[in-house]
Amino acid sequence: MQAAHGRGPAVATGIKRVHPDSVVFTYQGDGDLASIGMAEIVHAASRGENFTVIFINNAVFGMTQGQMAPTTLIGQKTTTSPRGRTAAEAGWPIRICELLDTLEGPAYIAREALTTPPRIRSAKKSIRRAFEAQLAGEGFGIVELLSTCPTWWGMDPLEAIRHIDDTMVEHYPLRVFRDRPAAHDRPAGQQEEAGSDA
Amino acid sequence: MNEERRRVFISGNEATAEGGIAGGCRHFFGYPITPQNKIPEYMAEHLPPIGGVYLQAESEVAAINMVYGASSAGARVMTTSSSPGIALMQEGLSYMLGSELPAVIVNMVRGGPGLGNVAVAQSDYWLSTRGAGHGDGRCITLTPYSVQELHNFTAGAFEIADRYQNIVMVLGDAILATMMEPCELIPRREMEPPGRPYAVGPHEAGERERNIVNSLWVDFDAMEAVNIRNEERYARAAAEITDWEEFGSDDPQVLLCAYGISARLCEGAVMRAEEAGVRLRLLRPKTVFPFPTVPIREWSERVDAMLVVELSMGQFVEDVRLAVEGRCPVDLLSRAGGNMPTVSEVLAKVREVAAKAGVAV
Amino acid sequence: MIAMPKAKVDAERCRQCMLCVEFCPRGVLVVSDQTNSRGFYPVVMRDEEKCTGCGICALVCPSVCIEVYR
Ligand SMILES: Cc1ncc(C[n+]2csc(CCOP(=O)(O)OP(=O)(O)O)c2C)c(N)n1
Ligand code: SF4
Ligand code: SF4
Ligand SMILES: [Mg+2]
Repeated sequence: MQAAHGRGPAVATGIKRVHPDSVVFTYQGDGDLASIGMAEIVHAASRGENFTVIFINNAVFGMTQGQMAPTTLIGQKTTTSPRGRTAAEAGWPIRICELLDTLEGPAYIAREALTTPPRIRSAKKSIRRAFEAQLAGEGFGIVELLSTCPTWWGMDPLEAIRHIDDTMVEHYPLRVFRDRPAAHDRPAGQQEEAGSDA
Repeated sequence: MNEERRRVFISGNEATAEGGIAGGCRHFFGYPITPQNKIPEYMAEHLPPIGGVYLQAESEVAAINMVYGASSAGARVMTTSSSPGIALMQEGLSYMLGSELPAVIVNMVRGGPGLGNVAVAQSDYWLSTRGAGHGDGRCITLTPYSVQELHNFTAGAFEIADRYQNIVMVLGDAILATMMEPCELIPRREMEPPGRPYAVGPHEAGERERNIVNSLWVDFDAMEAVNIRNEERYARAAAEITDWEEFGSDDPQVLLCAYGISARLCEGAVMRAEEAGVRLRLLRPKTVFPFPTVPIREWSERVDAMLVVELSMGQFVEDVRLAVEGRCPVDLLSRAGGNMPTVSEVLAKVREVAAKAGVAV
Repeated sequence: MIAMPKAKVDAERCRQCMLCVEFCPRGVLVVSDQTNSRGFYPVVMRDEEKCTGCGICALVCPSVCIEVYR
């Protein structure tokens, strides 16, 4: 099912509310999720919608030929920041996981990087865990995957991987931000358990 | 100002962007979408060094509202997009028409509905001429058919927008946007100081009345007054800026009507009219709102039939039929989804239309 | 017959990004000298004997064009 640019979480909400027993996920880029679709992702997360979001963060609008994204790093050159992104002109890169981590709704939030074999294995674990959360009815899960865009970064694939590990992770720390049943699933009258920051 | 005109070989997108700068625009807000990405990229490159503002909005919804804000602050402002993005802008456009504000919007039309594709189409004709969201407002709509006209029309659109305090839509398409042609560049006009009589912004106490930009009119008569004022400006525009071009036989049996890239194709058909054995003339609107109703009506009394060629399933043809009011048959040749008829197909259709109308071919 | 562990590259889908070559701990993958229909020189197995079937190549391949049999 193809959603309009940015509207995946709203469309997924519609599908999940009709078929609550189906496994539902969205697959969204950083332009899609963090730019035009910011409202949809925040509200789906806030509602604790019981689906999974796979968020591909390559710090650029790849499909449309390499424009600046909300996640583009300061100083990064793109086709619409030809002299490098400056905070004065375009603000700072947005950290989606940290932002969603302020909400009660999400059950699982993690950021991983698709770079070296150990990191890819870790990413697979997080993705599995996010889907398990959905299957257990725990609520909204999102896995942000730092990914390369060799074409629009002007790097070869290996350089691009190194760029993520050397530079991007500084701004986007790899972390499981939350791994717990959604707040509204707590038995009433009990204290909320602290999120386990693995 | 250096009036010498530089001739360059550029794409329609670049010609459009440079047209905006030539027209005095120094504020650009936009959001990437194919096939017009070269426009924002050009603005990002060229505006900041000359003191202008290029800002990539978080969405087309935000972009058009940035345009709304900049226009209410009195600036010459533009945005560009392509079909799905223009669809998202409808709310903002409606607010601007309700607030009687000028702006220039360029739509490099692509296939639809839905996400469609990034190929050529003319299926946003209604969106542009009837659209601008809800309410009675209309966008003045210009239809260039070459890289040069994209440049000239975009530059000129700011004058028109200011003159009528109304949105001007420049309707391009995926082919015009990306094709390369020689283009004579209009010298860049200086930025207008943002001191419009209606604009909000800093002023000395007592210097002028406080300006309010608003499209909320609870009072029935006040709301109606906005609509009447808008109708008056459309009537003025119809009298003053309706524009079209004609080409071909002075005594045509069949009149071709087409705009934009389709008109380009039909020019080819007129040049090869002998093959069809029919005397052929092309009328191509350069404005479709206001629409060249008068010349089309006049021709309808002199030709045996008309043939409309458009890259949509029958949108533009409705305006032609409204102008013709049944005086002659009006047939339609349409393709969609990125497809275009060939000149030979146009000529074959011309023969068919002529034969149906009783022209001996 | 006991099947040898081996990695199999779908040459048509390979985009010659070289990540598998970089990460293969046994160094058994190399670039072939013939292009595929998309104009890339696909990766091929040079030394099947030495492949341990660890699956790292398949893990890192962005084009999902390696299958590992063990
Ligand atoms: C309403 C609307 N505006 C713009 C576009 C054009 N568009 C297609 S994909 C995209 C963003 C691509 O960036 P991202 O989401 O980061 O994905 P990537 O290609 O980098 O994986 C844009 C702006 C669109 N399809 N719809
Ligand atoms: S399976 Fe392991 S050893 Fe074999 S080719 Fe792949 S990475 Fe190398
Ligand atoms: S990782 Fe995949 S695409 Fe890249 S070179 Fe190896 S087989 Fe080819
Ligand atoms: Mg991206």
